[in-house]
Amino acid sequence: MITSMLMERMNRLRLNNRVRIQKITTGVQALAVCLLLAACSGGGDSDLYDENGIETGSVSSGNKVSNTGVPQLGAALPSPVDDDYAAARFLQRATFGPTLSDIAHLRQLGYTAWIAEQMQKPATFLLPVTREHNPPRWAEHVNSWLINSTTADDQLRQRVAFALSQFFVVSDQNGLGDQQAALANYYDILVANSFGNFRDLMEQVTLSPIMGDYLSMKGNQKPDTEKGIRPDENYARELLQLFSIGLVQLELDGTVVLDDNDVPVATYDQQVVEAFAHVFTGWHFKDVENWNYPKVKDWYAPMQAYQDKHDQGEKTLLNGAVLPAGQSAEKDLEDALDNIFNHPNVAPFFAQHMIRQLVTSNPSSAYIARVATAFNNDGSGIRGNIAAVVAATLLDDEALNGYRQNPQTFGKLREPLIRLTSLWRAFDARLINSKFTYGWLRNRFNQAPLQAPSVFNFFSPSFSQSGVIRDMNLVSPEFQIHDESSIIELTSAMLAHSIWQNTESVSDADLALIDITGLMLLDGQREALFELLGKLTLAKPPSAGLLTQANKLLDARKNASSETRTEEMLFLFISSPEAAVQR
Amino acid sequence: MNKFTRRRFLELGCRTIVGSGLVGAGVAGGSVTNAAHAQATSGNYKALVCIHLNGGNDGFNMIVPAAGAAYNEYANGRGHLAVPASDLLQLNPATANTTAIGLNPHMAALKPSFENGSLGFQANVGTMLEPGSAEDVRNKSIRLPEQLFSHNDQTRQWQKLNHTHHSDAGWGARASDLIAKGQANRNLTSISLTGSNNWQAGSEFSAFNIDSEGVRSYSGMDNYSADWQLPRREAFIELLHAQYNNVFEKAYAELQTRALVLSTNVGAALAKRGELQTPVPADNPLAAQLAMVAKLISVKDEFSLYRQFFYVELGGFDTHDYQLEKQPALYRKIAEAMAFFNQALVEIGYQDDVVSFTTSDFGRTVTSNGDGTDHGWGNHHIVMGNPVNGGDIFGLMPRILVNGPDDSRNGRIVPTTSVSQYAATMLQWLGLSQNEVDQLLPSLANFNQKNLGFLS
Repeated sequence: MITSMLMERMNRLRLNNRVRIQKITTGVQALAVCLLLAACSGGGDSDLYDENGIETGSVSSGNKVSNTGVPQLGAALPSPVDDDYAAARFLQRATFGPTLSDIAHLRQLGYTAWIAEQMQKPATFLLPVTREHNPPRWAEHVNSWLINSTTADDQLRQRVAFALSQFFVVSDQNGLGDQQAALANYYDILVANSFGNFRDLMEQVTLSPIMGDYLSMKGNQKPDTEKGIRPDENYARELLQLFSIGLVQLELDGTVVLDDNDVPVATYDQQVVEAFAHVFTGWHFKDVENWNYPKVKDWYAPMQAYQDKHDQGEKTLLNGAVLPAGQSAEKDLEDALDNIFNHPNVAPFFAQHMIRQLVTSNPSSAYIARVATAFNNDGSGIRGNIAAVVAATLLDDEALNGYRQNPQTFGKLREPLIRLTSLWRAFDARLINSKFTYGWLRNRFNQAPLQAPSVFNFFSPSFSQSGVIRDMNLVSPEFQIHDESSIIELTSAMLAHSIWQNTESVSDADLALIDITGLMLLDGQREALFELLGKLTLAKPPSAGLLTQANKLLDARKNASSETRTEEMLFLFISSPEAAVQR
Repeated sequence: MNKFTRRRFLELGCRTIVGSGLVGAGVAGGSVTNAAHAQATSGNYKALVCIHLNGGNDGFNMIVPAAGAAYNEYANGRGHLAVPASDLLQLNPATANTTAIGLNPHMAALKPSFENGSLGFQANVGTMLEPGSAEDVRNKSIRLPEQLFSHNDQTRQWQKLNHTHHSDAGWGARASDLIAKGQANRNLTSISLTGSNNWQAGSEFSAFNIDSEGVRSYSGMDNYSADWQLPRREAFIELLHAQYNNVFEKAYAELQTRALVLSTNVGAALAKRGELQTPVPADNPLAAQLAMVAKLISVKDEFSLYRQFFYVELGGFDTHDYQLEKQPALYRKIAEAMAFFNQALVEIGYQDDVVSFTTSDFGRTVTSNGDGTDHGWGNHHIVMGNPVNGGDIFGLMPRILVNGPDDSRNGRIVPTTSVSQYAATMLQWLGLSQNEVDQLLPSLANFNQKNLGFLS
């Protein structure tokens, strides 16, 4: 059943986007070749960015950038994997949590081959799983997301899709709560394009009726001077500010460009926002029969252009590019997205996001520049190849060795959702879809998929936790959803999931049940137990402090059952400050 | 007797945060000579409650020119988003404004407070670095705030009033560091009911976060009479005091420790206190947060607090679409929540000591995009509390006229009062000297009127 729906879904994607699929395949193949031939091992020249190439590429010439050389995908070919801890660290970044089998498999393949293998795996989509419940329950997409993120084989794709969902943000919190399946369908756009091209992804996101509704481009129409109506600026503004280039000009390495008075140079002004608002007029649900009060609402097909609602005036976009008057809605949209896509900010802006999501909150500017360079040119002349960005992000020397180069500041606070999926993955959780229900998750975790409080995501990339992090001028985005209230909820949930939800006797099939029998085999062998827990929950050996407390607690529980002792150890490890950090 | 009492628990919890202001009255030493402190210690309690309307509230539909040419200008600009003149509730401001003013009918719950003098409006406030007209703005002959019309930037500017550096402290945080210097339990000076925010961020003492349901408890570690939990709890807490080199580990351990102390300390005080008598409006997250603020104020003596800063928030104001459907419900929530809070303060006996005020990202365009409004600039705001010279509308009501004298472009109204003036008025009430206020708000110097007069 699932398989046939999946096939149907894939065929549909293929039909809708023949050209795009072709591009993805090419992109991934090019990258895979690049990875396997070790062409990426070349380091050195960091000045690969051809500004002229970008500028001449703007507006009309599509997403091809003149080939400027070999991309820099990490300083040296970073296979093989040193040890199980190195593997676990890598899997914390590239998946929803390390497992023993993934650790072994990664060590066998090495980083690059593992990435290449992951990128070839068929995509696991969210819509079919969401639709298994008909009618969907409250926040059904949260349940299906947890199932896919925890169990899907294409872990890297799933993790990248989640990172993308925090870039191209939609949320069910502002009126889309009843569209669980359509939200899943939106998420599948991200899944499908996780190793595709940024330009294609931006277009599919733009035309998604879910995004159309969320940022009110759907139904946006040309000016009506008689009624004093002008186009809606919502999508235009957030596409520029959050989904592509950001507010201020950036160097390739993410440094903000300042003017003579040390004021950041803005990337656009209000007039540009208004011009894009005019571009994005004339789109609505497919085959809509009534512009203002549609009854036919196709939440799945891309939005459709309605020329009579589209503003056909001339529009001046970024960097002074002009769209001539009289263009169709489709042509205006294509040209405008090209105009954005070819702006030099996209590479560093997107690179920073991906590094912060997957690897570390405070990357060096050189690291950002290396990933941005991969965005600008994947090595085969393609701009915007997300597969290349992902590989560059994960294989960079700073990603692999930052934990020992900068142990004090490297890494990031782990997202609450990923701490949960990590626990489930490490201990083989049983997720029974017919009953499984976590619609309440957001209230306890301050985070749930497609449920950000606004288009500004769960947390801001510039959030800095007061205390040592702020004092050192560092950022810690994920701390924004951790406070004195939510950390108690999170800790309590960790306890519930490690201590109360691991035996068959628990009748709560609506919650995940983890399997701790593997750990229990090590009862009485403390060193072996601590080592295993270290790999699976910390991606490092436990600290001396953790060992001391673990030993004390084991002593105190010496008369308890082995199951109880194991549960206590699991909780102590996963609730420890060292388990909260990805390194 | 249980070996692990609440006291022992707190001792453990507090060990890592001694000096961070949670324990020991007057721990923060140093000579305290500023006027704020001298006044603050005289015994009067004062608190500011910042009510943030997240997304950019459309204040121009909240109070509206009620008649004549002014109404027609407004109605022409707004099109079908205009509030019909016949629906407006007439307000009679104490000092004559140039035009008759009507209150949005969905804010009817605020009318009694306006009439009894405990609520007023400050007209057309916004981020301005120096005074100027719409023409000055169009000609760029005055210095303009960076990133006008961007949600996060404008919110940041509103709440920080420090227009250069993004990581700097909010004006609430700066004021709290100044005025609560000798206060015990300084980590309870600023309390947020809705998580981190710019207004309170960056204080020497982080704001405490609690939600409207009160303090949460640690499952499996919160039963102090259960011997069974003891070793688990002790191991968990001892681990928070280990030395952490990595900054994220360290910050996490610190936060967890603060949470432990909060859940024990504040939780106990709130439990002892019980519920409010005043009924809390249902399905209203803002009212629920304000109810918790009232409860926290009523237990402030347990923590020897004389100055506090509370932050609450209601979302959903970014009405680019469906404005006609969304706005009435939002307005009702604001009005019912604020009216409730006024009553609750009377119940707990602090009606003379608390001032509530609204902030928002920005105002919204006078013009319509068909079914909503876009990001604007100047905006009307609400101030409430007995110290407010209520029943009045302060500042200048702008012409709500597209391409009129107050319109910078396409119905984005240029503020006639700066946020700095708005904040300065409240900080003076709180007890900061003029000199301290001047230092705290860098661009206040560019404005003649340092106190808008809505508080006494």
